[in-house]
Amino acid sequence: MVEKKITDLEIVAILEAFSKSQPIVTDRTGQSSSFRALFCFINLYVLLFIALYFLLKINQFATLDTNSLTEEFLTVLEGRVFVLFWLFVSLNMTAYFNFGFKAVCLIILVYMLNSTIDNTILFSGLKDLLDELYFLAFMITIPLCVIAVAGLMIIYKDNFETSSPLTSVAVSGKAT
Amino acid sequence: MFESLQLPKAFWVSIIIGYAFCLLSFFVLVTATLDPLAPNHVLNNHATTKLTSIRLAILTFGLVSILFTLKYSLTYAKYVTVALTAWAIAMYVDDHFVLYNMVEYPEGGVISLVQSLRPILIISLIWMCFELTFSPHLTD
Repeated sequence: MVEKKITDLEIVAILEAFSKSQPIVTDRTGQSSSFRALFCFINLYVLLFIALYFLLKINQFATLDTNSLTEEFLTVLEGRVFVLFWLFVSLNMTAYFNFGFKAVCLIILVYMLNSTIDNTILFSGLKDLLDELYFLAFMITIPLCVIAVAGLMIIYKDNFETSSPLTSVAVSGKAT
Repeated sequence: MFESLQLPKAFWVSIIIGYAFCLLSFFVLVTATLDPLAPNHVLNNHATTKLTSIRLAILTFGLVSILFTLKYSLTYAKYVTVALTAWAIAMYVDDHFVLYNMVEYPEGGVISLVQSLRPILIISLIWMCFELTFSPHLTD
């Protein structure tokens, strides 16, 4: 007969400990609803940005003049879409793993500010694109996305509890 | 004016490199003549001149701001330095990934020298960030 190594009292204690940890583990994000809303908004914005680039590339929306500046603009836009795509992949990954989120937010913020300034300097005279309402609306709302990223960085909570009480006791070495 | 901060010499060397880079860029901006026979001459001339002017203005403003904020608050000086460094790195990466497909700087001469000195400026800014962040004896 195998000797019973754990008492009923200890089993109950373990079950109680896990029941306390359950809500914490299921609420994995641990972030506020405004954070989630901003996060969804930014993801949606980037997806729209990528979609807009592809639509412009295949010239679905407008019949653009194929002059030199428009071609150069599309080249620059392609590079920006490429960089921005990987930055937002990093943002989603760091949000999921809860590691380095603020650093990635800062990188995106600086990159977007820099690219907005560069675009304004280089392509302010691009009349045929800016005459398109959908494109103008998109360019004007870029500062909104920058503000959203800044807000995301500010309201992000990076020290929420994800470990169960049992783990914390075991880690601190107090378990007997 | 800054004696009470007791900043290390490496910090001052870094900030002097920054100012020297600004002066050299300004000199190039004023004196350089772009090749009128180069392809896309009008676009390149327009783009490079505008970009360089505005970037140089921001860099100079940032470096002057660091000196001013050093006088009043070390914490804010650190923030300004980190922001300026992040912007310089973002600009460098963006140029290599995106803008060099469009904007071509003339090769040879002082312009190439300034272009090749950009990593030195970034290293100097990073060094300033490290000094302001990790030097143990620095307090407001």
